[in-house]
Amino acid sequence: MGQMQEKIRFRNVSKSYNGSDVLKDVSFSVGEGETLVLIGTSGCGKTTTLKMINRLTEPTGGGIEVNGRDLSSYEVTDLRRGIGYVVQSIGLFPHMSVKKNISIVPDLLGWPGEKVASRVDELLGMVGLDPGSFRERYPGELSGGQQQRVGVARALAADPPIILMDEPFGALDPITREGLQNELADLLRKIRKTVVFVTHDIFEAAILGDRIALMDGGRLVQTGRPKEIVENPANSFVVEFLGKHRFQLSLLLTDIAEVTAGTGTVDLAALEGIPSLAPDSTVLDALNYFKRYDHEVIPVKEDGEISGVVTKGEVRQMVCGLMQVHDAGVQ
Amino acid sequence: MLVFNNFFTEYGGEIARLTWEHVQMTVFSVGGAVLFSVPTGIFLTRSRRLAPPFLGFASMVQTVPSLALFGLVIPLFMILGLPIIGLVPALFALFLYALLPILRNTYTGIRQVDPVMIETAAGIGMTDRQILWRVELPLSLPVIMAGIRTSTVISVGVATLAALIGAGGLGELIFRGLRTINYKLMLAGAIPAAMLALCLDFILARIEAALTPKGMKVKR
Repeated sequence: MGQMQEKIRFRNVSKSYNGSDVLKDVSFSVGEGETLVLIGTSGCGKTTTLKMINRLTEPTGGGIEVNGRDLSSYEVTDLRRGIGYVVQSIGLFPHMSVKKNISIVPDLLGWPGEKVASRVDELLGMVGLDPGSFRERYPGELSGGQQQRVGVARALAADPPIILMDEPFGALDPITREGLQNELADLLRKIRKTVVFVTHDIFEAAILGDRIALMDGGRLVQTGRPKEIVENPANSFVVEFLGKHRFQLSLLLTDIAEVTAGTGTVDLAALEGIPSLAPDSTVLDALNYFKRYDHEVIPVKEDGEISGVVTKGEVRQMVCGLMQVHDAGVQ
Repeated sequence: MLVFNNFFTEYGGEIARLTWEHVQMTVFSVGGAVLFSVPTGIFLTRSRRLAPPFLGFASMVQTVPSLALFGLVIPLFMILGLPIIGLVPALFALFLYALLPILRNTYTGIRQVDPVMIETAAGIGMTDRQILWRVELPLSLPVIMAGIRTSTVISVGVATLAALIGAGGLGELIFRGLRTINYKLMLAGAIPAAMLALCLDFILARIEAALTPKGMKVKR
C-alpha cells in the first residue's frame, strides 16, 4: 500500500457558497487502484467533494491534483471523458437505449462503431446483464437494480482509470442493494480502478472501501481502513456515527483467518462434500453459516483444497471478545 | 342532394382555391414562428434574465384580440412604409399570434428537463452543445411539439380574419356569407376551416410521434 501511485490529491480544499463554508480544509489522497469511500450525514460535503474531481463544482480554496497535474490545467470535457461517473438511477437517459447510454463516452471519443458495439456487449456481460436481451431496451423498461448495472457499465465504457460514484445504490431496495454492493466489490477487485464512492450507509462503505473518509460539517473527521475506523474511532463523533452498528461492523470486517485453525487434527474425509467458506470470508459469514447449517466445523477451501477449519467454539469466543470491546467502547 | 351538387359546381373551385390560400397562410406564419421561437426559446433558457421580458411580450400579443391585432398591424405597417393590406400584413399578424405557444413551450420544455440529468450529461463529458442536442431537445420535444400544434390550430382560426385585410383564405366565404346572410356560404368557409385545423393537427401529431424518441414512449 505504501508505494502506491497517487492518483487524486486534495490539498487544503475549501469551498464557500453564499458566505457559508461547505468544505473546510479538506486534504486526502487516493492511490491508484484504491477505493476511497466518502461517508457522512447529508450536507456533510461528501458529494461536493466528489463533484470537485470532475469539476462539476470548483473549490474556492486549496488545490486538487489528478495524476499529479493540477485540475485546472485540464480541458474540462477531456478530464470528464477520462473519469467514469455513476449517479443514482436517474442518471440514465430515458430516451436512449441501453446500448446508446453505455456508448455515450466512446462515441464522444470517436471510437469506431464495431469497437463500441463489442465493448457494449462485453460490459453488459461484466455487470451481469445478457447483451442479447438488454442491448436494445430502454431505461424505463428496466428495474432499479438493472438500471444501476447499466449505470456502472456506462461509467466503465471507455475504460477510464478513475471512477466516481455518487450514492449509486441509494434508491434501491435493501436486498437489491446488498446484492449489487457485493457484485460491485468483486468487480472492483477484478478491474482495479481508482474509485471515489459517496454513501451514507456505513455497511456499504465497509464492504466497498479500501479506505473510508468520514466527513462532518465540511471537514474530514477520520480517514482509514474500515477496520481501523471501527476499532479506533478518532473521536466521539465517529463513535456516534457508527453507533449501534459497531459490533456488527466488526463482525463484517474481521476475517475468519483469525479463527482458522490448521487441518492437522481434523478428519478431512468427514468434511468432504459439506459447504465451505473462502479464506477471505468474514466472521459474519461464519455466523450465517452456523445459522444455516448444522455443522460444528466449517471447512475453509482455497483453490478447491481444504486449507483450514473454523470451529463453532473459536467463533463464539471471538464474538464474545468483540462484544466486550464494544460494550466498553459504547459506555 | 341536388342543392349541394349545384352548390359545389358553383363554389367548389373557389373553396379549393381559398382552402389552399388558407393552408399557405397557416404554414408560412407558423413555420416562421417555429424558426423564430424555437431558437429564441433555447436562447432564453441560457440567459434567464431575458426570459421574462421576451415571454411577457409574447403573452401581451396573445392578449390582444385577434381582430384588433389585424387592425393594429395596419398603422404599424403604414409607419414602416410597408403594404397595409394583403398577404404581407396578414402573415405578420398571424406570425405574432403564433409566437407565444411555441416560445413558451420551448422554454418550459427545456427547463423541465431534470437538472440532475443535465449535470450527469456534463459530468460524463458532453459539451453544452451536445447536452442541448442529445439530451435537452429530445427530452423536451413532446412539449415543444405541443406548442407548435397549439399555434397551428389557433392560426387556422385566426387566419379566417385575414380576409378582412384582403389576404384571402376561407374567411372570404365566411364574411361574404355574413354580409349576404347566406348560410351556405358561411358554412362553405367554416367547415373546411374546421376540417383544416383537425387535419393539420393530425399531421403534426404523426410527426410528433415519429420524432419522439422510442424510450420516452415506454410505459413503466
